[in-house]
Amino acid sequence: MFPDAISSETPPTESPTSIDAHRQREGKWMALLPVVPPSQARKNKKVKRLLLEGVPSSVRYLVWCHLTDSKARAITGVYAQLGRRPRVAAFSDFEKDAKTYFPEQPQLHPHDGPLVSLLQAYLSMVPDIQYSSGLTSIAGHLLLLSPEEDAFWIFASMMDAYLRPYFSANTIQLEVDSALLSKAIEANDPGVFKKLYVTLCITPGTIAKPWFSTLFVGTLPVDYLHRIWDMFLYEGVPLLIRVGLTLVQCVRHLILQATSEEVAMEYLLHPPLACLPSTADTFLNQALSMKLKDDDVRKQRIKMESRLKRQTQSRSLSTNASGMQTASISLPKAS
Amino acid sequence: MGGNLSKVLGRLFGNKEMRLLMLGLDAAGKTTILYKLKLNQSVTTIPTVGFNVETVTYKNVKFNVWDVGGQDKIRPLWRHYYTGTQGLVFVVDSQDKERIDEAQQELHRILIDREMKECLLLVFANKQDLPGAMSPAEVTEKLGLHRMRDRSWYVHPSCATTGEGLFEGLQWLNQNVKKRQP
Repeated sequence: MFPDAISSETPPTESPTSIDAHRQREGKWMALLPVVPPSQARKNKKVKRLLLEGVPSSVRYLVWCHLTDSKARAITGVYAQLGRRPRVAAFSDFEKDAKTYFPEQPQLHPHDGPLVSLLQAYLSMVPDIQYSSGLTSIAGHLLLLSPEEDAFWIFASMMDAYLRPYFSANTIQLEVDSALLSKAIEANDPGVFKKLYVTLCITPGTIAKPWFSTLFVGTLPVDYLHRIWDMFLYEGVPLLIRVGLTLVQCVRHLILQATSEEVAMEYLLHPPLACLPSTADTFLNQALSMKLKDDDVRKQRIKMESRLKRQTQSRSLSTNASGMQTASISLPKAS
Repeated sequence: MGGNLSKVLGRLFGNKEMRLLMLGLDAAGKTTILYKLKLNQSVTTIPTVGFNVETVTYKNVKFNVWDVGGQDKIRPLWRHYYTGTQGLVFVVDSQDKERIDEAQQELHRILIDREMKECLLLVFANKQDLPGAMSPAEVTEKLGLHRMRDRSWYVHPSCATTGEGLFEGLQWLNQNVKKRQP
């Protein structure tokens, strides 16, 4: 082959074809969003196909508004009103955590900035939530993609649809989802299952809670997080279990050698980057190819939840109100 | 696929597409420009939260114009719109002498991003109808454009409400966008 001429121009950062694909994807999303009602978006096959292709960061917050149907919840003026309420108790924690978790995003630091304001508004609206720094992380990541008020309503919708039960005093949802995760790990990889839950005696909630209640913030790099959230907002909890399975697979060799719960948990919560697939898309594809029946998970989740509720009720009736509700529950056997 | 076929035909017959990103301080007139181009109407706008995007066809070229809100709180979101930009349309309120330095700083911050390395720069010295408006030469000087190397730039006076100057700007972009290598 005749060699190419050499010029002083450095090559573009992305190949022309990938930039072309990016522009086309933007166009496809902007054509699709107006014709799919947000309430139907999670049942729409075209939406799913485009989600799998990718979501340009220019349109990502709109896609998330759509998937969470957050505009249906938004009431004009409410966000501003909430901001005028007295400071909630956790206010100083927001300020501190904003700096800790987003050290390089000074726009999120001020006490009257978007992150602190969003959390203040949300917690004054929903006072039963026990604050944890995971909320700052989730809200902060939304604000890096989205204007403030849109971010607030996406956040409120995500909390209502998925996360609030993890922050409530009653732990039923966490117990159910922890059990579903551990069953899935057992079915996919009995060796790791035995190591984690039998040899190291880690309780299912210890693994599931930090993952699920933060949607993997702090565990996965930001671009991975975005791709996971894209699909999670479409698929719901089964996707969280798939991501959990993928993480277990990525660090299984380390877990099998771990000598303590602390060491194993460190690998699960902060997996070395070298253990993860090299791009967000390969990670997502690996998660999607995990052996798991999503519909079974959805059905079992409902069943287990109602059974646990009945058990808790009968237990609280039989004990004489002396706060014995933390008794352990029996988890269903793996099929 | 239909889309691909029409693209191939477009290439054969000279139809082009160009992605433009329109930025600038709040109240510079970006959204007014967008809808003047799209609808040929002078619309009343409110501050943009988020973005507007429209396709404007002019002389066989489809311009996909992204107009992103300019309030300082949402300027950190601008970078999400850089990828794939072939032309930056930077809109300046020529009457706003107080904030021209701020505009200059924002412009330079945008252009140092590596995603924006290759794109053309069109500056609209907007609101020329207002008394005391800076001339295009003054805007050029205040934005420090003469110091810019390795960048094709062009400053054009405009008045978004009447539409004067807008298509001349697009014309320049169209003539200067790099022909794609086969």
